[in-house]
Amino acid sequence: MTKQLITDKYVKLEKAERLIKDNSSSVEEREENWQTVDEIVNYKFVESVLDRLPEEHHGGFLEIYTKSPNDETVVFGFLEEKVGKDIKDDLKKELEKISSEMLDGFLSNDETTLETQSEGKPPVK
Amino acid sequence: MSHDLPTTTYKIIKEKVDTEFFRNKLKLKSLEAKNSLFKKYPHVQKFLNDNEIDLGKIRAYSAKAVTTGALTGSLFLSVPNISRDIPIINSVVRDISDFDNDQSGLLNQEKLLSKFKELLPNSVEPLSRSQEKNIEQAINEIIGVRTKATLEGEHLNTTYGYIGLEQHLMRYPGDKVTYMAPGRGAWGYFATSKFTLTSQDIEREKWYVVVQTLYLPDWEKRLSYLRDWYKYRKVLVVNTKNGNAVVADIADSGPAAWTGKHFGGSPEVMNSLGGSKYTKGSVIMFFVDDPENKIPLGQVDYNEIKNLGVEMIEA
Repeated sequence: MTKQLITDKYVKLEKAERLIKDNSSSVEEREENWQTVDEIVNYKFVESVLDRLPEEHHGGFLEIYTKSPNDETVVFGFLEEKVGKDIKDDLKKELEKISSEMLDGFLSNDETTLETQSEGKPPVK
Repeated sequence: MSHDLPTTTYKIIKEKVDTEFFRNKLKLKSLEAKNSLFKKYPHVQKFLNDNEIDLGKIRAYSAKAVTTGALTGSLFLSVPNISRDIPIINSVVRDISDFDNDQSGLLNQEKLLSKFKELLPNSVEPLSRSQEKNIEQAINEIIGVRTKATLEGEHLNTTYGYIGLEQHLMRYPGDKVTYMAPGRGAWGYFATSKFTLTSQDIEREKWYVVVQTLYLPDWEKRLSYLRDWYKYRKVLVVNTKNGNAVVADIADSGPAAWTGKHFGGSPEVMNSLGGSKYTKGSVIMFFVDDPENKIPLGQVDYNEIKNLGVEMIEA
């Protein structure tokens, strides 16, 4: 079964994916880098949630998120109940920010190259 | 040759340094994110330690939850239940009558799309065994390629998902084309050199797909067996929006789950599935049951008009 997380839907990491492919010397290293990106997204996402959630509900959130990290209805349902309806949109924006921060400090020239490469029709052999 | 060695060695070392730098920088970012979270919320660290949870590996918990859910679902389905069985029987009866009646005027591709409309869930998600069985049947009958969602006990993470455009893979050391990934595929080079490159190698690279072997639940446990089993394994990929189909082979692992995609396709695969501007879309991916290796890789044209058993005699 596919291991999707609720964050997957909202983070936009195509550039990070290309950056990893271009900067991994082996398949093992590439997969390790993918895992590291997962770690970064999750630490940052949890921190963003806790920043908005009253401390008495932190335990409840962690309980829910670590058990059902793929269940958007359950996780956002809990957060909307404790914080308010705006939390989902707020966190979506935060995840977009995480996406752009992910590339900070990584070879700024690459970003331009990546965009150039992704334009137009890919050549076939 | 003697002049090549120092340059080559230098190049390899330089590449290694660059990738090491990248890897370390990424690790540092992860460490900073972790430290920031635990410094601000020490009780989170305690919660995770007490429950032996690694937040960085949370995807594994998600997989367990999904697998348990699917297992519960399939057990539930196996319990005889009249109200649940009736629609299935109705559906089968309707299927037979559909084929007997006026579907012959439709192109096969249209027939398959109408089947997809009937059988696939509204959102792109893993299919149940019964859904897979029905789609297998439709593909076998309409496309005529014998496919299986589970082959020799093996099953992909999902058989219904999003495919994204991949770059070309390096076929042999020193291979150079535009739009090519800098590294090798998960199974290494297709050939040891340009001179040993066969037409089969060329076809394999041309029609390759990427699947998420790294997320298979028993990938690490059965690595040596699974690595061989998946290497160049043939699959049928069908675009669920237009019915275009390709027989492809698995030649790399990925994409990362956080991309929201489940499969990847070479430029040729993607071009066949959806044209030159097609970079992402929903597809069905089943294994091709081809023990004698008779089915060629490439686009499948299954729209030819059959004469339905009536022999045409030239006047």
